[in-house]
This record gives sequence, structure tokens and C-alpha cells, in this order.
Amino acid sequence: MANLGPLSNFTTAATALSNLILVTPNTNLGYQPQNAQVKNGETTPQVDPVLFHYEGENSISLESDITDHYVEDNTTVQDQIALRPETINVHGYIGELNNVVPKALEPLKTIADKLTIVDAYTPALSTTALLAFNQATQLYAVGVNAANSAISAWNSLTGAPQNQNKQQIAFQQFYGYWKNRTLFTVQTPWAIFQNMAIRSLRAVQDADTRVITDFEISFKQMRFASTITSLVLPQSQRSQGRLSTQSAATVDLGIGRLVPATETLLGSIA
Amino acid sequence: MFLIQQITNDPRQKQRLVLEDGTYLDIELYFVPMQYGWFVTSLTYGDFELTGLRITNSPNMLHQFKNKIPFGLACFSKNDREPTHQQDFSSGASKLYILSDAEVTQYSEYLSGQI
Repeated sequence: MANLGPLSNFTTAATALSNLILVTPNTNLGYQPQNAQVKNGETTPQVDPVLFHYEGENSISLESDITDHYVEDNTTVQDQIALRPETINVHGYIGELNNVVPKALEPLKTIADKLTIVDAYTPALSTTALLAFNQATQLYAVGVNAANSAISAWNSLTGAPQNQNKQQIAFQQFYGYWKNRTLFTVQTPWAIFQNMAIRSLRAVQDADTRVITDFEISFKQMRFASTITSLVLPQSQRSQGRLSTQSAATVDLGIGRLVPATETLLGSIA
Repeated sequence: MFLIQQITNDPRQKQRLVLEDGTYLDIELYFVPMQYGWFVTSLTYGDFELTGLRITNSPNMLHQFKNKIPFGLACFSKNDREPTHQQDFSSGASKLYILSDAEVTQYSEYLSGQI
């Protein structure tokens, strides 16, 4: 008879892998805060994902605890494997000077990038588009590099807090998420993980410059207990043998029927 | 004698039996596997109450209460054995009877040698 054990293992492994959302090319999800779906009876809008200006090193750690039982010959045998939650360590840089444009300018930037990379696909409107993008980014750069009043003006347009630079805004954003115990959907180069909580966050501003902050964030996956309601059978049905009999519930047979017997009392005694 | 017909093999069961005169008694039976026996855990007739009587082969297990109750309880089994199995009453190996007032008196006279 064929051994179906390995097949079962593969099926289990495949099921586990299917729970991971694999990374698809050309998407940049970043660090997406997972909002509560419903708040005060209304569905809360999805918050924009957090994106670093420059991605640093990403690493993921998968660990498991495997039991060691020492036996008579001073070796160990293992019989249990417990899976620890996935942990992700990410690095990213937030700088005051960067080439990351606001969301509104992203389509223009895409066109501009393509035009500069692949000339053969340059459409007729390329010059106009390129000029528009250049103008927009120039304005953006001017706004970033200007004095506080200019930053305020720009932030009033983008909705960001007033009089704060990008590093402060980024830190406050992460600080708020950490404080609120926000869960993230984190895109790594290998897979997308959900329900990731900030385990540690370290913001480092190097001694050499004050315009770049290195954020080191460690995410840990949250697993939630679930409850299962099951029907509890009566003791007599959960028990076996004599215990089942002893713990049986009394059956009410109602009003019994008395049928005149064919035998007589004295006849039965004899 | 009146045969109590609907005893099942449920280890705990109770039923109400209506006598000839319209009065009734409540009887509760319990099969104890460790004892290999059936017990009357409760027999109530008016203000008469009996608890903890083992059912054995007998023409009248309630003979000693003949002056208090107008009925008796008899048990007869096949093959000269006691009702020791849970299925004995449901299978008919043992039978439980209610004696009428006249039969209670008759049995009493039988014991005293009058019959």
C-alpha cells in the first residue's frame, strides 16, 4: 500500500504557505497600518502606508523551539516543535533631501522615469510631461528647502503637522503607531506579513548629518486566540462502562401501563 | 397481579403507575452495575415513601408494609436467577408485578398457613 504520509506533509506545508501573501512585482506596499474595520459603527478609512525615502537592510527571522529530552546514553531526543512568531527587522532612511515625490506627482514621476530610461517608448507628449514633472518637483524641492514658513505652507497643502521636518514627522508617525499598538501589514522582499506589531523601534541620527534619520524597526507577528463553542455532551455520553451507567440521567417513562398478568400469585410461588 | 410492562434498560428510570382504585404510585428504578442489581431508589404512594430497596425475586417485596399500602410488589425471574442484568426487565427474563390489595392479603394468609 502506498505511503501517503509525505503527501499529507506536503499538503500541510502548502496550506501554511498559502497563508502568506506572496510579493508581486511592481507593487510597493511598504508598511501598511491595519485599521480597525469598524469604529463607532462606521468603517474607518485606510491610512496611507508608511514608506521610507530609502530602504536599508531587511531581514526576517523564523525560529522554533525544539524540545530536548535527555535519555540514558546522554543524547537527546526531540519530539515537539513550537513555532515562534515571525519577526521582521527593517531599516529605512528618512531624509530632508530626497527624490521621493508626493503621491499626487507619482504618475508624472513614472512617466518621467520611463522617458529617461527607454527612449524608444517616448510618446509625443513626452516633452510636455517631462516639463510638467520637472516644474512640480522643482516646486517641491523649493518648498522643502525653504525656511520654516515655506515648510508650513507646504505642510498645510499636504496635511502634515506644521513647522516640523520630515524626520520629526516620520518619528511622530511611528511613535503614534507604537503607542496605539497598531498592527501593520509589512511587505518584505520575500512575502507580505500581516498583523505585525512594532516590537522595537530605534531612530538614529548619525553624528555626521542632521538631515537623515535611520529608522530600525523590528516587527513581531501577533497571533490571536480564537474560541470554539462546542456542544458538551452529558456525562453519561462522555463516559464509558460503569461510569456511563452511574451518571445516566433519569428517564421519565410517564404513566406506566399495568396489564393483568396471566399468571396467578400462588401459581408463581409454586 | 398486574405486570409492569414498559420497563426499559435505561439505568435510571421513573414512571407513574395507576392502581385499580384510581390512586397512583411513583416508582424510580436504578440499575447499579457494581452491584449487579436493580434498586427501587424511590417509591412514593401518598405520604408513604420508600427508598433504597433492592429488587429480588419475591412474591411481595413490600410485605412488611402491608398495613400501610394497599398494593404489593412482586418479582419473578426465569431460570432461577435474580434480576442481575440491565436488560433483564426489558428482555422479559425478569418480570415486575403490582399486587392488588386482595393478593397482598392472600400472600399474607399463605405465609401464615391459612391457605
